[in-house]
Amino acid sequence: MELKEYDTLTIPKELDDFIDRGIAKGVAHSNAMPLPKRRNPYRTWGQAAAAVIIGGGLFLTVAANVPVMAKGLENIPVIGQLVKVLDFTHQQEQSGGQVTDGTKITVGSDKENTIDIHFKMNEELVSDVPAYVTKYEKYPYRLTFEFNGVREFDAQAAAEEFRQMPFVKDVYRIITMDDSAYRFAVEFTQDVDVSVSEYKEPGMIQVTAKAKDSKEAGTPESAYFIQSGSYEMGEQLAILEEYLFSYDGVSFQKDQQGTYILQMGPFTTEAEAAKQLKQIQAEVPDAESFYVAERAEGQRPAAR
Amino acid sequence: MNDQQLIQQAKSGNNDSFATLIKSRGEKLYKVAYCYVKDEALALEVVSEATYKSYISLDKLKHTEYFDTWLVRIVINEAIDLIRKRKRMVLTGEVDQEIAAPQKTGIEDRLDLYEAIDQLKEDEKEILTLKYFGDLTFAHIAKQLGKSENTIKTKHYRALDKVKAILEGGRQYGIKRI
Repeated sequence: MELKEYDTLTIPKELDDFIDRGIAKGVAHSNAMPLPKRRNPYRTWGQAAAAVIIGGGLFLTVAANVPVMAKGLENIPVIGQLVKVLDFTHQQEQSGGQVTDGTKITVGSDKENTIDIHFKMNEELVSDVPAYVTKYEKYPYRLTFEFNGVREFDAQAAAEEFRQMPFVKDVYRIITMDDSAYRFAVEFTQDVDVSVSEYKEPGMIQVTAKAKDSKEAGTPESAYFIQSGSYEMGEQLAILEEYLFSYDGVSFQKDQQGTYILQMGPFTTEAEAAKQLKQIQAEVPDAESFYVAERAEGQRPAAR
Repeated sequence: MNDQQLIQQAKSGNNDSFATLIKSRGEKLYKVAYCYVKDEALALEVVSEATYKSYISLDKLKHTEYFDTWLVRIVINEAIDLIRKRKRMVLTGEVDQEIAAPQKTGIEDRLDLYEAIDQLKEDEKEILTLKYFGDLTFAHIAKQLGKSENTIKTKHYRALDKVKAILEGGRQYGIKRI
């Protein structure tokens, strides 16, 4: 079978014009002045934050913790830099940023409960955050990030910074087959109020974790998961993930022995998980050993 | 002048060489983009943005023999990002009328190749797109996706069988239309 025989797509005559437009944009970008180097970007951000606090009366902090306000703030620049505040109250997974390539992630902090993630190209801060997906989960409590179009990331340095934050239990890299992407997880000792804010010019992600208000904290509930056996973080796990590409809710988890599993869930009932497991085992290679397990909120999966 | 010479010149800042490289691949880049966004105007935007992104990051390309693989990957990333942004716009209720409803420009009722490919799993779709529209070899696809060449071949033939079944079986497969 030759697919091209079936391909009758007409190529628009404006195609070359659009390519020229892309090149012109690239030339303009290259000719633009690079962002000024900052002697201490964290101090600068501290000053900016102070300005906001004085002028806006703790507007950022409040906005980040009130879902309705945070939603309204999305895409509205505050002092020309805040792009949006992500809220995890009703939606576990959030995304943002711009498609880029070749950036490097650096992580720093100037406040006890805040981490700033910056992005550089040729040692200059870039103007936008690379495309990212971030997620807050409760089995265990952890925040994950995936940054695309990133080629360099000092995971160890980032882990050391994140460990300075309160409630952080562990920080670890998550493998991906995409050599232009990086993923990592920050696990917390308890359910926390996480706020993730995206800034531009320069692009920055700011993560804040605070103890959850006891009034907000619901009753912890257990849930069911489909789990793989335990592996070292490596290619074998990544291949398993590729097999499960079309399924929702797939993630890597560090287990109680410090090795890693691939899981799918949470499911509310054991029957629901078992039904999904049956389907996976019929469709996915290497899924024979997958099993269903119940887990309490905040708990890591057992190793097997 | 061969492609490798053009790439070296483009890396040195020669815009004409870069334009020659991209335009000679314009058709396949457009097809890869269309395969994901299913809309002429959006596919053109994707190609334009991918051209821009590749221009500003060309100096990062170390292995120039993978220029095509690298370029097609940028187009796919750009297309996926556009789809993601449009989904987000719909979710937040800020639908831009101009791009909210992709218009099919082909024969409206015809079940075409692109719709058939769209029914595949994401990895199968990517492999077929890279192979047939990106003109990449199995070896290059394997490297890009971080899998063995044999795995790619197996998945490729499985995907091809599915597309064949969809094209020949037509509507009985319950093809979703945009």
